[in-house]
Amino acid sequence: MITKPKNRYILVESSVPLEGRGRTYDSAILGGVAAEIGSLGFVKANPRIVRWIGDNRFIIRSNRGTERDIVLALSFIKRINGRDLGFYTIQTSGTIRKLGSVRRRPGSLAKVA
Amino acid sequence: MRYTDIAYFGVRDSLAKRIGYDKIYVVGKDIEIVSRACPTSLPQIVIGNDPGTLIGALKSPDVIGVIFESDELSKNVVEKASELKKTVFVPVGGFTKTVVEERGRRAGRLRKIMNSAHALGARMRIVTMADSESSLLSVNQLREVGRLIFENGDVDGTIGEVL
Repeated sequence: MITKPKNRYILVESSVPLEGRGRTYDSAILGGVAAEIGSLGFVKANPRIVRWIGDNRFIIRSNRGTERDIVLALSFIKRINGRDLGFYTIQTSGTIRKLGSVRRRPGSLAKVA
Repeated sequence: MRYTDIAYFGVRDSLAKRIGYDKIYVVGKDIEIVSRACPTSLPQIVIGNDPGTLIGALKSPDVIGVIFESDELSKNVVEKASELKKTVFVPVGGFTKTVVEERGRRAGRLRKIMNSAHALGARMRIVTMADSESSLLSVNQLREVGRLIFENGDVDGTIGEVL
């Protein structure tokens, strides 16, 4: 029986625009997460950046049950590629679609997971 | 529930709302951080290490709470805060910026403060006291950092309205 993997999607905003987003920042951000949660935690969470929204927002996917570790790890990352910054986790959801509704109303009161 | 925070700089309302806060109070504009109670029109939070000075300041009606400057707990101060219904503020913005080697020790000191405040029935609030956008945390993150430090406690009761 094939079971569908259950994921959690976290909408994250950076305090500074990350120009030239893409593989450069993906690996740096995931490297920062790995440094915080360790290799075992990284394997359990299997985080991936699945979508970039503009220059300072992205959606990171992790296995269900590990989203809190990812939120914590992002709280401790303060420097990426030599730049001082902070990451804010805006919302956590089981689907990307629900995070899309947060995107369409910038500045509105965000739901807290 | 209303979520608020304290920062050393002015945070744009749109950013504050996006990260889950109804308001982020600014030091010097909405609230004062002082080493001794003094007559001002703003609510004051007293910061320091000396228990005698902190207890004396807590008696002032303008002082709403206390921060332990070096994260060094004084149970007498926490008892006084509980008796006078003042708040023990636990700043965690600096904690998220510490190097890995120091993080465990710092978490231990903050945990002692939180455990004491909880045991003595003092009102406790976790705040970021962010000095820049990089040390600001969303409500989501503040809750998780609170859970990391205050392992067995009710963290949901420690975030919310600051004033």
